[in-house]
Amino acid sequence: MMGTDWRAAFRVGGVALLLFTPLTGLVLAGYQLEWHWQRPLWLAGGFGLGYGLLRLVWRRWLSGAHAFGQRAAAGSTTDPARHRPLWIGLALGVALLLPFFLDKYGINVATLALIYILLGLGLNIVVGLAGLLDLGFVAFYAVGAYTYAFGYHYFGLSFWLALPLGGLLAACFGMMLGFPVLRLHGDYLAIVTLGFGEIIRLILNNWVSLTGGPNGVSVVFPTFFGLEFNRRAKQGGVPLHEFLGIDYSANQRAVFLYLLLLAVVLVMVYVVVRLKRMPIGRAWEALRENEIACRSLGINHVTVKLSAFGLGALVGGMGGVFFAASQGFVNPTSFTFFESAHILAIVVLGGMGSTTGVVVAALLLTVVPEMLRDFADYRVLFVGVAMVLMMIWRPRGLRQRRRPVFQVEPSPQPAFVNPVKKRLRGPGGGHPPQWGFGGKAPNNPPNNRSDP
Amino acid sequence: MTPLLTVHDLTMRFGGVTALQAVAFTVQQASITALIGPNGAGKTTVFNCVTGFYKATTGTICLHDPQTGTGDIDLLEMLGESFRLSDFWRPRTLSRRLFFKLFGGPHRVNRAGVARTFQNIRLFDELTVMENLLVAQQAQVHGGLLAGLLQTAHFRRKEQEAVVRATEWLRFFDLLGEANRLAGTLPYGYQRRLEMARALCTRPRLLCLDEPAAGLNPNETQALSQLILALRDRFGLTVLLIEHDMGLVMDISDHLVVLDHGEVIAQGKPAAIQQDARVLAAYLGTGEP
Ligand SMILES: Nc1ncnc2c1ncn2[C@@H]1O[C@H](COP(=O)(O)OP(=O)(O)OP(=O)(O)O)[C@@H](O)[C@H]1O
Ligand SMILES: [Mg+2]
Repeated sequence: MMGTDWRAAFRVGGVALLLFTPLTGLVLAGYQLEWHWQRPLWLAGGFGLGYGLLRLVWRRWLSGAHAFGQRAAAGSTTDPARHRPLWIGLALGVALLLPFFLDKYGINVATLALIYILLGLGLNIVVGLAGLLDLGFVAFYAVGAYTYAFGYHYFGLSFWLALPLGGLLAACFGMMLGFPVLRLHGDYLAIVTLGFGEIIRLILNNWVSLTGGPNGVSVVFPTFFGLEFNRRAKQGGVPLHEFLGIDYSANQRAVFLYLLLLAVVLVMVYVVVRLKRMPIGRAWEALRENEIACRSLGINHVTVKLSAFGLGALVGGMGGVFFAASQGFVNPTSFTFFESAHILAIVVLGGMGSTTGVVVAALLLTVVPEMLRDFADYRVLFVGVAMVLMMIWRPRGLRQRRRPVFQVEPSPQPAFVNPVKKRLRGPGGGHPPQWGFGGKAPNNPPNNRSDP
Repeated sequence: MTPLLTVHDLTMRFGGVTALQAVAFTVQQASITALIGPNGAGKTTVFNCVTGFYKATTGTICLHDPQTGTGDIDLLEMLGESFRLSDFWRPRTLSRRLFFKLFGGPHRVNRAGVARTFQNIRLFDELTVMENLLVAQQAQVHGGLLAGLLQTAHFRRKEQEAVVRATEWLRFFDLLGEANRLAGTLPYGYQRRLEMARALCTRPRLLCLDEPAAGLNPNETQALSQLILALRDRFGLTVLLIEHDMGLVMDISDHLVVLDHGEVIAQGKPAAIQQDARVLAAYLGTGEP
């Protein structure tokens, strides 16, 4: 085991040496080539060692989900859910206490991470569960953000009203997008959704009289039951710190927004986890697997698709409202295609359909680039490398979606509801049919014509 | 004998190709009817028309309802027929047409009581066996979004009922041990049975099986014929079956319909069909084309 790891590491080191010798060993100084032989050696050594260590780590701790399909088959024998409450409690505790130990910048990063979790959860419904590749998800994010901005700007709408309204409006847009693309799949669907995202952004950018164009719209910060988070009341209320009789701190509003967002994220995580075990969630996944079979089973694919688009957009729209609130300002540059790609990367990296995976990936892809601010130019590179590595090692994402396990065997008395006619005897009686070599592969392969 | 399904004058054209030409047959209640014919005869096309995946060019497909006696269900209407001029002074017809245009489709045919399997198996590969069967009971579980999110008692009872029904069908098809496996990882023979179980979970009155024995070994085929007979005898189900395995067909079917080049060339009891000159010609290629 170990031996193969280190041999592989050695090979990687060798390849790195070959690559880096001309790339970094030879340096052009003026008109002279300088020979730096240490550099490629260091790099190659680092790559080899790093690769070996990663392999070891992967083998030790992460390889559980590698053999796809076996986990679902194994069911309860090695149930990974055993330590779940512990992990969830720990994560919750950290998330709750976090803002009190961070500076304003840190809280903002954490807020952004939570927003991306929300977006990831929304897109996960559309892409991960329903299998509808949506490259324009940012459109719903924008709809949510601008709902709040316009609502405040034109109608004096408060954050608390804008939150559900932004979600609902985004859901309407989601269904609007859903209708024309009902018959599309895969690549075609991706292109249309990409266009949809761009259309929304271009409208926001170019309809200057309504949207303020690239100058954007400013947004007011949410209040807490009418209490403001400013040093002095601007919206004509009482500032929170005066009401509570505590000192003013610029952090208060950021902490407030963070905690509020955390609550919304927790609710959404619960909703998504429940949805996956509900008929609607199963219908989404069934639709992803085989649309024709779905329709043959009495499932209306139109409503199922529209509900996936709508609910996904709803979550994305709420993320947009929070984004607008946290920035205090929105303009179209926040809603470019890159943003869509980023959210999609979160879903793919996390593992299609896995809620935990999305949460982890959103944190990774938001927090790590912020920590590496000095290397900001390489941010996209970082995402790219993460994706490539993942495709090699964990092609199904960080977390594989766990299937619910059903208890079937103990059926004490034949509590059988006859599926066809109530009067007749159930299949519990009589002889069970004997199947021959059930497990054997077919001798003559089936007719593979695609029909209907 | 009461008929359950009547197909009359069914014609299906794809552009210039006439896949079906004036096909007519009836399927009796609680019987096994087999649809046979050489490759490309149009058997699967008949299935697709009956189950609503294709909109027949002309003809009628009627599902009778002998139990309630409420009359016939027009399966073609459910797919959303195009409007006719005469509709505009008959608001009832117009509104029905509009409704089915908007909300019609194969799923309505299924809810009317017709379930099917596919020639090339179509399972939900990444879902477990049990989930495959639960999806099939979707239309019956319902419960609404809020009830599911809050896990109301009603919702949980409905779910439990669905699991129980699925369990019974799994037992019938001897798949209980596989309930929590991913459907895509099942061996081929199991997948065929699972697809039948899934179709049955929609509580159909007419079960359409498209080459259920394709790819099965002789033992499995033998067991399959026992199962199909049990479906008829124990549950009073009506089975419409496409099959190339003549042994199986002659053993279990009550009525045979032979298709060739999109036309019904013979129908009747198995024994009679075996003697029919046109059928022999179609299969063996002798005589005049
Ligand atoms: N969607 C379609 N578009 C065009 N032609 C079609 C379509 N579906 C079927 N056909 C044509 O209809 C004819 C009958 O096909 P069908 O699949 O019904 O045959 P079959 O009897 O099921 O054959 P097999 O035994 O090989 O399954 C074929 O000639 C086929 O090319
Ligand atoms: Mg066929």
